[in-house]
Amino acid sequence: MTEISSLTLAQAADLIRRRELSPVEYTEALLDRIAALDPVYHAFIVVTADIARSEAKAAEAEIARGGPRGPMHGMPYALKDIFDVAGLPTTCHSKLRMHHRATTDATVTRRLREAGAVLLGKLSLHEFANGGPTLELPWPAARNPWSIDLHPGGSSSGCGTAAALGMAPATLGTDTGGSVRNPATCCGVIGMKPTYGAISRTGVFPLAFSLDHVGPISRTVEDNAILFQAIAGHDPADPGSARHTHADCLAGLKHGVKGLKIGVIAHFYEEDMAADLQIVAGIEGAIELLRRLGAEVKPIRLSPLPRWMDCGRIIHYAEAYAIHEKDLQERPEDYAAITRRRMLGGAFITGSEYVKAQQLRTLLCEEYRAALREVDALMTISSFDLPCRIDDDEAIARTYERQCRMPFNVAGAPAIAVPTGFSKEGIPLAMQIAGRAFDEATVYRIAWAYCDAAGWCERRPTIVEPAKQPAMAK
Amino acid sequence: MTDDTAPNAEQMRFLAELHGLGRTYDKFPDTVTTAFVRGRRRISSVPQNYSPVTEPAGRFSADPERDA
Repeated sequence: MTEISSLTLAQAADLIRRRELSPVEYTEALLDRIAALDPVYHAFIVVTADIARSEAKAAEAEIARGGPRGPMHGMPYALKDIFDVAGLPTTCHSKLRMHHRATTDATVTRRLREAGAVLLGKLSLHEFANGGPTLELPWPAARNPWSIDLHPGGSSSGCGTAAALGMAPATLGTDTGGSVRNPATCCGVIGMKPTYGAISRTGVFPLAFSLDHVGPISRTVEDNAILFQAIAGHDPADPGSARHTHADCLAGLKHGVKGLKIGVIAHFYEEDMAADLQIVAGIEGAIELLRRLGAEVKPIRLSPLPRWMDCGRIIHYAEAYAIHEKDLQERPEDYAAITRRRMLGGAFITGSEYVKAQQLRTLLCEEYRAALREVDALMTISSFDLPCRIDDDEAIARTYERQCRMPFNVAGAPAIAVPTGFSKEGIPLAMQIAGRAFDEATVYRIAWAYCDAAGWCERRPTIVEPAKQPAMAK
Repeated sequence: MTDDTAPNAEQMRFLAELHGLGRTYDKFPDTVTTAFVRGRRRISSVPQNYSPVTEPAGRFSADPERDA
């Protein structure tokens, strides 16, 4: 039998339905795995073992009485520590929030409780979802499962690490300029940034209101869609929440790509900026495979990447600074240096430049919608470079600009990062598949077909034993 | 002083004060100066159909029932 911690949500749900696995047994196996691995990989800020055991026990009793009430019933998950859980701190991985305590659940936390899911804990992130890995904070930085000296991506770093190592089959992160898709890229897992407004942000600490998205990170596309489906939907408490009704993302998930038209935005990585050749080879292999699977793949052009990046950068910096202005003026020393550097840029953006960025956003969104009248989905790479060392601040700072994720935050469109292979050093490579607003179903369908045929999601990292953990050089 | 170059220390101190960041500048002068340079980077290009009267993207609606 497969090791319990290697089970996907879909496999575990099937076993639980057949009474071959209990939610308590599943939860205990994952708590054991977290206890064994987290001292090395630091994916968790807090492990909520008591809550997990109590929720697993309740789920077990309920399932014994009437069967599972949905695919998340009895299923363990973990949250980036930016989501409120009543009674627990929401630290945002920051000294400024060490003594915070949430009084109510975030909407997504409540929806997962109502679905009968089991909270394993709260996960590491880059400070306020905007800094980078650093030793200056009260909790250590999450490490890359494929090479412990490398950056695991961020800002939802703990989500990527926990998912890749089988510590949690499903995790929830947030994505303002790529923070779900970047750790998915670096950790070789699946990260979905859905349509803006598809998942509630109520009870999630904001970074930049008009760019913030909540998104699942998991080992498989199917698990990702299961978690998305469990939490998506209108929330009157979130002013950005959409009333749109989603198509069922699971019903057509395995219907294949035959006849679908996919546009490749190759100029992002062939003309606008130079990408690592192994990353380019990864997406070229994926294009070939999707063609063999029956998709029509053709080039498509959008505005140059720097225009999208400028638009996103100005909106991101200005909105984030508005949130942190008082603390940056009065207690700047309480932020890590890497966060302080990123946050302070917003102080000097003028009002007119911010409005101009929002005007540009109008035009870029129109352009995006026009492109998707020609094709069903888009593809491009995710990062331009392989993950750098976790202690190389300059290289980490460069990665924020050298990525293709921000265009989909600007457009508010769904985009998923999926693995496209491994570098010669054994580090994951990735691409993105993006779609029309509220058409997560097509994005998941293409991602599932590709991942199923390519098989990259099957590969697991080699575990580093606690004694072999190298020190973080500083 | 241009958008791409840092002002001198005296100018920078004045600008930081103007933004309520005097204390922050005293503690982290290089960080504030770098942030100034980064924050003043303009939008490098706009599409041909851009005009100063293009309606900005945004969520404001006087109708609270409207979709976001």
